[in-house]
Amino acid sequence: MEKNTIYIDKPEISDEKILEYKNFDAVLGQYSAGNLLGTHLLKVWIGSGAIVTTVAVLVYATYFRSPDQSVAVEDNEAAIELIVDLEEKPHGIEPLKDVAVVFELFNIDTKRDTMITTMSGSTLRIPAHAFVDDAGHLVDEALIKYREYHTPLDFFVSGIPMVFDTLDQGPGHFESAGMLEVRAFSNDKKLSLALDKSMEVAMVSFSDEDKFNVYHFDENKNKWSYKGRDVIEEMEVPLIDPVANEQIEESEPRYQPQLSDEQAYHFSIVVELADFPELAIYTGMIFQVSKNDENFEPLMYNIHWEKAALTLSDEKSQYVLSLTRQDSTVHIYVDPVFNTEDYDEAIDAYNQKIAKRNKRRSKRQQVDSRAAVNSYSMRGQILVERELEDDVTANLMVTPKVRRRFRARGLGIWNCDRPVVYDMIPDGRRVKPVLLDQKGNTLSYQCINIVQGGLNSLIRVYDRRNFRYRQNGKNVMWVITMEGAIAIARPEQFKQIKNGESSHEFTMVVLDVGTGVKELRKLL
Amino acid sequence: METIASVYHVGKEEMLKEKGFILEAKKDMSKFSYLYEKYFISIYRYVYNRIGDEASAADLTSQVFLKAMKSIKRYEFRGLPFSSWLYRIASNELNLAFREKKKAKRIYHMNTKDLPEMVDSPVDEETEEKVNLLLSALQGLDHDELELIQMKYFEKRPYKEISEILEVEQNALKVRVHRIKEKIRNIISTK
Repeated sequence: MEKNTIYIDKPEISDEKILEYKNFDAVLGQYSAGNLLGTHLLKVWIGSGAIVTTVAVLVYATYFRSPDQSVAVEDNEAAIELIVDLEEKPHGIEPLKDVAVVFELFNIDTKRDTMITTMSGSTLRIPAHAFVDDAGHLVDEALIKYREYHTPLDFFVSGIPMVFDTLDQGPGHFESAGMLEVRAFSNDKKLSLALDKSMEVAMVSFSDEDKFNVYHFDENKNKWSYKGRDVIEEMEVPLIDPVANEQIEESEPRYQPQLSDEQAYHFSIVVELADFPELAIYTGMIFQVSKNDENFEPLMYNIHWEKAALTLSDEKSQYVLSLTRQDSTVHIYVDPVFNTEDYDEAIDAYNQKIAKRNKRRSKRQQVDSRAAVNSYSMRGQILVERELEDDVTANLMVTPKVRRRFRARGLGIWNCDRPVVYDMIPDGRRVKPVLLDQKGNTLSYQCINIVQGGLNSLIRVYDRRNFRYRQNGKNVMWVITMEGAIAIARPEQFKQIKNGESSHEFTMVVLDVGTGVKELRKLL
Repeated sequence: METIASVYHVGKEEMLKEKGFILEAKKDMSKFSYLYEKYFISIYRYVYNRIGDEASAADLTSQVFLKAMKSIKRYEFRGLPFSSWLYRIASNELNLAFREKKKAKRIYHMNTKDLPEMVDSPVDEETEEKVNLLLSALQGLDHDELELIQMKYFEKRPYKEISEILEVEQNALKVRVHRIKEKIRNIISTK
């Protein structure tokens, strides 16, 4: 082992001696000079990647090199690279165009009020004479492009920043309850919303919590601007859920047939099958007093009842037999059962029905939600063109809970968000990630993307020393490598981090962008 | 001999004052001078004690403050002294410096009066023997171990602060210190 230099009981350097080296003005001067160069660095770095960065860093190092170099100055190359990492990071990233969420297109007559209903079920009410061109002239027709982002993967592929600046807490992150982007064009030229106009937005949302704010993305300043609060409204028309709809349409048995219990009490009832289609497939069915019915008295069995009626219980889980005689009525919980001679036939009928249902469901799911989307698009008035349906329909597989209503006084990106303090996630734990490919090579990347269970947010971490994961939750992490591939760490890899481990090596699965996004969709 | 006065334990009032200057500096970098004035001696001493050369320590200290100024817009106030962040930058700068100058030796400081605490038992030998004992024990440690022992015993830093600087959880640090002390005891007992 190399011997270290260890001083024992060596007198300390005095404060007076140290103060001889103090010179704030010199440091401030370096800061000011570096800041000018830093602006230049930002542009080339974002635009041209790692090679240009290296060149810029070398220029920087030379710029500050003094004749009497010290250890610190000699090390500027690496040091400045760190500054680039920390300070010059862009707020968002370049969108992944090949896999980005596509726009829905609407050609509208701008001379009248228009209500657009999107495939997701969101609505956009655009007043007449709402759009102006660069010269400020009203246009008669406009092409509206609209898309929504609901999941961390949507945020990722869109490249939209999910950070905001706070004065006292540094950068914060957003958790989103939904985001939309709306643009308007005339003859391929961008339009603006007229100053005195606004659009009424009712965006579907998968969160029904009410603690979200509305932000508009200021594309000139590259930051979010707070616009107020949204108003939540219930979905008045449920979105299409093929399985749920099927349950309403079809007459399916509620339970697997049960054999009758010889010790129990039974009633033979002629059922109007139109009222109970789920029982129509059976023959020989009788009704057995439910074991759960504590109010049943055997005495009831011997009474001659004048009227009998069968209904479903309020929770639709059990049948209720109501027996009436003169002024009194009793209600008895009963279950449909079969005697031995009818039981096998009932089981066969049940199995056939279930098999048919499963086959039908499977077929519908394979067809994806295209049918659902098409029928939904009928609610839209002016949908004229769609690009790629699959991306848009992906979000529709889950039913939105509410609509978030707000007034948009501009085009661009609108977001229902709330701040998340990444450092304060309750079970968040810090670890320095070392990312390797499957051959053990260290990966080069710009930032780490991490999605944490229970949080509809995409955290982008540029300073890997500040990387945190959820100890008790699901974590999915990925990076875009310098070679343009997606490298993914799965949730189970986070379980391998040992207590007290300050840095951890992750062996990443490296995939091309298309495959990587599909993999992420499965994981998230 | 006096140990380094830790500035880690600061009152709430002082902390709020510091936060105010951080916010000011985010808007106007000339306001960073308060933080520079307050922490220059501590950071210089931290660097000097590890590099052993006054001029190099001065340059490296300047780099630490320069980086802090460049990154202060991203600084998150989490109720911890600003010094922890500066020490962390300094620690990184030192690592970079030693990585590049491979022949440079790392320097560590220890006091003989801390030896009993390190070995958890009184050491009765005469001073010269104490020094030899301590030296031989410390020479058996690697860089990370020496750094931790130096911060804990020579610089008298609380675990919370060391945790902030080294970015290692406090419990993990305590376990490490315990193991290092065991190692020291083993080395001494075999002498």
